[in-house]
Amino acid sequence: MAEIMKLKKSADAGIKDILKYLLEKKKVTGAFLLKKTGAGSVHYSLVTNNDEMERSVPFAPVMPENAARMLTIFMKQKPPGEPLAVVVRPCELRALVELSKLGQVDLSQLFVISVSCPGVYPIKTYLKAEKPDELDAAYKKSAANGEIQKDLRATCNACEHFLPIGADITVLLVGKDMDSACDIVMNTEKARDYLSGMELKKAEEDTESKAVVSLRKKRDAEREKLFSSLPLPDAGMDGLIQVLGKCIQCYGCRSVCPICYCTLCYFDSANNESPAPISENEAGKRGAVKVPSDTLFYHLGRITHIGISCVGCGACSDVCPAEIPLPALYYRSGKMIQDMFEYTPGKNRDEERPLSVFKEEELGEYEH
Amino acid sequence: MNEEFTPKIVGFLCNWCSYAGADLAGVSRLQMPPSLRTIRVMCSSRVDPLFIIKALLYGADGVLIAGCHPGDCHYMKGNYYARRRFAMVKSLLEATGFEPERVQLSWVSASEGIRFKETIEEFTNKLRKLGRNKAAKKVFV
Repeated sequence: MAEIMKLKKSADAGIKDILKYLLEKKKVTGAFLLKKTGAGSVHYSLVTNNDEMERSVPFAPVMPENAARMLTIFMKQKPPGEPLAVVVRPCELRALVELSKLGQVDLSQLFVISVSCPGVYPIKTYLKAEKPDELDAAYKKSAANGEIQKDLRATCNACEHFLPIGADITVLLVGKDMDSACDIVMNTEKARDYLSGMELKKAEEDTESKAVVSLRKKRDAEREKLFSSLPLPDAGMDGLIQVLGKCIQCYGCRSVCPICYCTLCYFDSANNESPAPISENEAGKRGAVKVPSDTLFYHLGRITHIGISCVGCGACSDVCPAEIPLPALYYRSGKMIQDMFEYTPGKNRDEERPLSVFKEEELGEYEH
Repeated sequence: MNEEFTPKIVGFLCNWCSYAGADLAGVSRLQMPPSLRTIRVMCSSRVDPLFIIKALLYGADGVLIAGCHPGDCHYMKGNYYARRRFAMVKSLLEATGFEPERVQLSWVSASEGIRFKETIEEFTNKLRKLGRNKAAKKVFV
């Protein structure tokens, strides 16, 4: 049972009230959330003014970019002691935690508002929608009923961590009518302290509501389906080529990945060049070689870099021009690695990433 | 004459233990299959997972990483990190169906010339059974 504050307004209006309160009382210096930036377009924005807050859309059913990525860029050089309120989805929060472990962002400066997440539409679906209202209504309906919405991102429908871990405030969206209810769970002392001056009606409720439990079950099944949609690992290398053969090496998946934080990527470095003599040598041995080579190398190498922290947000799938089911590949392989180390990215802020630590007695089965 | 296939093994040997172990096997004139291509590294933890993947994609039949026994690392704890990384690569290969049997992690100390020879023999035989690495002939890597 958790203590829940019930606001008799839409989830959007409720959270905006809270953000306005935090701004007015100077508890935070700004709010970071989704905001309309043009007809049909939304972006993460820094909002410091109450009028602009009105034009914000904190729960727009889309993730134009992963907030964790945007925040690490934004938070650079932010002086300590100036907290920022952020409205992020659970996977974005988990990515943030991973980035903080990698020394990219200071979480103590953030007041985190998150949601029990019904998922998001792919960017294209959202931007190209002829009737955005209908899209919105369908989203709210499936969220209220705790149902799978087939138009959502495939990874969203396969997501197991749709209740945020470690947020200061959770706004309940799954199993709630977003138009008439704004139910807020205070998770931390910080939240109670920041909002102590607000008049909020309290109630007791289980966050593991019926809708949440049933949605989790459905998503577990969807995940099985998503993972088994790949011809891997049974088809071996041919399966890999079948999945990744369409890749045009635009590196878009890397550009939007919240975990990819390196300033200079290995795959852009001179180490990864394949000049003519190398390609000619390879072609001589193979009969022909794709130029430049190293497409499989890029993807497999990327999994060694991000796999352990992959939160399965699905940003990569949204941008892939070749429509490769990247999350199925990254999320699944990442999850297998994570499971081996019994590690859930973003779950525990104090737990080190598995590759940064070791035990003296372990993994004997990998030695020969 | 039908020659038996000799796999190509890319071996990353740590400078302090396994490379010396290989040297001992050599000066002791122990016979072993000519399958190993040695790359000396200062520590088994120097082996970037990318090295392993690249070697496999470019046609190595097997990749061996050999270092000091746990507890004996010249740099105190390098081989523990190496073991975690190796486990990660292995489970990546399992996840993607990339024949995880083609990679091996072994601990060989400077005094274990015989163990080194046995490691190479065993791994070579295992790879012979697995056959050639198909990646060597693929156009798309």
